[in-house]
Amino acid sequence: MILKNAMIHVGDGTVRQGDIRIQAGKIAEVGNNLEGTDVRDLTGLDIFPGFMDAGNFLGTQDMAFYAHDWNENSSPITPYLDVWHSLDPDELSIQELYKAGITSMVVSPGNDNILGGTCAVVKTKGKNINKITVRRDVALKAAFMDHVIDIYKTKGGPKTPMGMASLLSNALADPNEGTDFRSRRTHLIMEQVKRGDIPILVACDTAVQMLRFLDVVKPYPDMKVIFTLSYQADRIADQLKERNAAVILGDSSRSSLHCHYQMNYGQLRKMADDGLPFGLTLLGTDMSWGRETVFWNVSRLLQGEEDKETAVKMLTVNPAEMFGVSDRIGAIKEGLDADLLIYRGNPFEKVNAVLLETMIEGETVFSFNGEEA
Amino acid sequence: MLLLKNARIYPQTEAAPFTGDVLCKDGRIIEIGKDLNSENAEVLDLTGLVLMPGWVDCHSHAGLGPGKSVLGLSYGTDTGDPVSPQMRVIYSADPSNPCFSFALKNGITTLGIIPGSSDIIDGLGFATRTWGDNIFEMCLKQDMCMKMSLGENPKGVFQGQHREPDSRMGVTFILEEYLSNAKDYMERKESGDKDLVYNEKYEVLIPVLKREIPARIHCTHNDMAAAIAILSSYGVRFSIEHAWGASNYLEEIAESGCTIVFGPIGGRKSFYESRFVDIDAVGKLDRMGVKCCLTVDSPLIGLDALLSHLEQAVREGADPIRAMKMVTIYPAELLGVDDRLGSIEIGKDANFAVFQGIPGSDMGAQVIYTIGEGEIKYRKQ
Repeated sequence: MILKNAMIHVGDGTVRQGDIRIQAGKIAEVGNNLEGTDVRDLTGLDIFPGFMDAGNFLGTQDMAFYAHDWNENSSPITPYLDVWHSLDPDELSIQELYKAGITSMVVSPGNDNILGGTCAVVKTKGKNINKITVRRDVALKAAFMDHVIDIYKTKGGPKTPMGMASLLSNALADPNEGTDFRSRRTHLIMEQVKRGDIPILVACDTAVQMLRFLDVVKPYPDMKVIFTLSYQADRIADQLKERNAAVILGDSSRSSLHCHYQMNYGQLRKMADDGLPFGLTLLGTDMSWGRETVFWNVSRLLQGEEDKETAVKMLTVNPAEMFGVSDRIGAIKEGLDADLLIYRGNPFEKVNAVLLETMIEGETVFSFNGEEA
Repeated sequence: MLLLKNARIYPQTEAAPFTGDVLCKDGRIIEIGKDLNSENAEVLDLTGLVLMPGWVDCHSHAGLGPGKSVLGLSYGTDTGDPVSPQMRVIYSADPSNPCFSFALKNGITTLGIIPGSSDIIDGLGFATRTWGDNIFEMCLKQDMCMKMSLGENPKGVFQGQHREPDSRMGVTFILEEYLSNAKDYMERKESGDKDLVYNEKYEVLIPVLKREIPARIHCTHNDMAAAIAILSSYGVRFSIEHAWGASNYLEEIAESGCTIVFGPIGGRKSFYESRFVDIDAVGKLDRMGVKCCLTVDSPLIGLDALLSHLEQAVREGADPIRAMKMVTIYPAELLGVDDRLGSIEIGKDANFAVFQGIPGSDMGAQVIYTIGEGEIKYRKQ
């Protein structure tokens, strides 16, 4: 299939007019004047890479929403777990993330544990867990916020931030040299994290928690730190830069969090403009929220901004690079998955832009057929 | 005096947007036109900016605390009795709660504060300004509606207590029983029945039965059908609050003449009432002539998301210019304060939201000034 003459938003900040050849679910070629059979003329339309959510736990509650599988509450330190085993593709599919253009996401454990387990990158529609998986063990999920204390204060602790720091510090030192399965898996993951082979994705809702975390992990300079939620990241721009940390902004609408944390979107955007790796997620402090909210944050981040492609990067190439899957997704480039969004209008400029079609690996998973205003 | 110069004005009347000036005196709009001059007025140059009436969120629990928390509304319903119409939520509201200043920061100058939804008959709401330190002086209209609730919320509170209601059918039965008893009470009172014993719970419904103020009923999905049938049979004015699933009841809504207050949205899809949340219904209903308002149900969702709700309504099919009425004149009408709020017209309160970018059309639109009764209450730094 050839998509002809569209405005192609590559994902890396560049935009070009051109054609895309799709073959066997992949982007086979991007260029001009491509020829072949099955040509679709997309003159006047915009194409984006499928958007990527940088870490939520939609799909881990099961179809009946009865199971509670995104946190393992038996211990606050469970780096050996893999949330992939909790993911129900049916439940993820009914969230219809692809209707908001989100074609892939990092599925991560919740925010209950200091070290919760590993994350996977998956596509957002499908029936078979194997078929929707892009890569497993892409990051270790952590949480360093009061929410952990709320969960564990009646379950043996931690009961304080210093209690959390002590447990984290100890887990990083990894004193357990056992040869049993649990010890070996723990050791494997902790070594990868400390070497920076995989990043650590840390939920923090305030600046002071982020600073505490950065201090605890000081002995591990190669560790790649990605903060998520990050409502007050604007207050510690210098420290984040010094550490080469990345920031993912969580949902702030629920419970008036924008008001509660006195967020500063303009400052957050400036940090992204200055090169801080910046992503977006539907994750909130205790729950993952609906697909539409991601564009609410996009609009706030675009306040007073001329360069709309900065926000495109937040939903495409940035998270793909952070989680080591930019060889598969996150841009419109030869060899990557044909996860594509066809829009009438640019949704980063105009609110009434219409998502006409969502493709995952060359297959149309959503096409717009409703009435237009 | 305040002179707003050279703004792109979206008046929220039948008039099309135009570029012009607005002169304000003693908290009111006294002149609208081009090239206005006034020697004594403070001049605010709004060249390149969008001037709208101050925004209104008519369904809010802002300031219902406890304390200064913006995370909850513990004092929103009393839950002592599923029939609590005599509760006046103004006595739970604390104007020092940060929700109010946050409203101003987001261009919102008026809130309709109503009780929560844990009782079936929840009590009386009031309309208020979003600035001030005395809630009784801030109040624009006391007892502006009777709040009612169907579905999971009241059921969840009373279920398992070995008392009514224990089910949806129990909830709707109590609603009908209350309406019927209150109507009998009103008729006996009007006929001069000397044996009538004063009952405050029925007294407070009389303005609703006389169509002076609306009933505002929290309901979604099939509860909406029950609400429309029951309230229509009593001939009262009413609004459907939240209205998730409205696209399955478009004809019934249009025929009933009710107002829709849609929102909040943004939850994950789940079972029960959040299985189907369809803000695309708002555009459809608007085209059918139904007046729709948008709400974020503050503090459950932040008031900053009222703009996000407008954006989402447009993203899902509403006309971007018509949708502006859903956060201005339509909610002002529902609150019964449209004689002084909700549009830019001579004689109305000088309440304005000044945007850079057209809200609901341009991504990244933001509030630059909020003006309340002729004074700048918020200025973006």
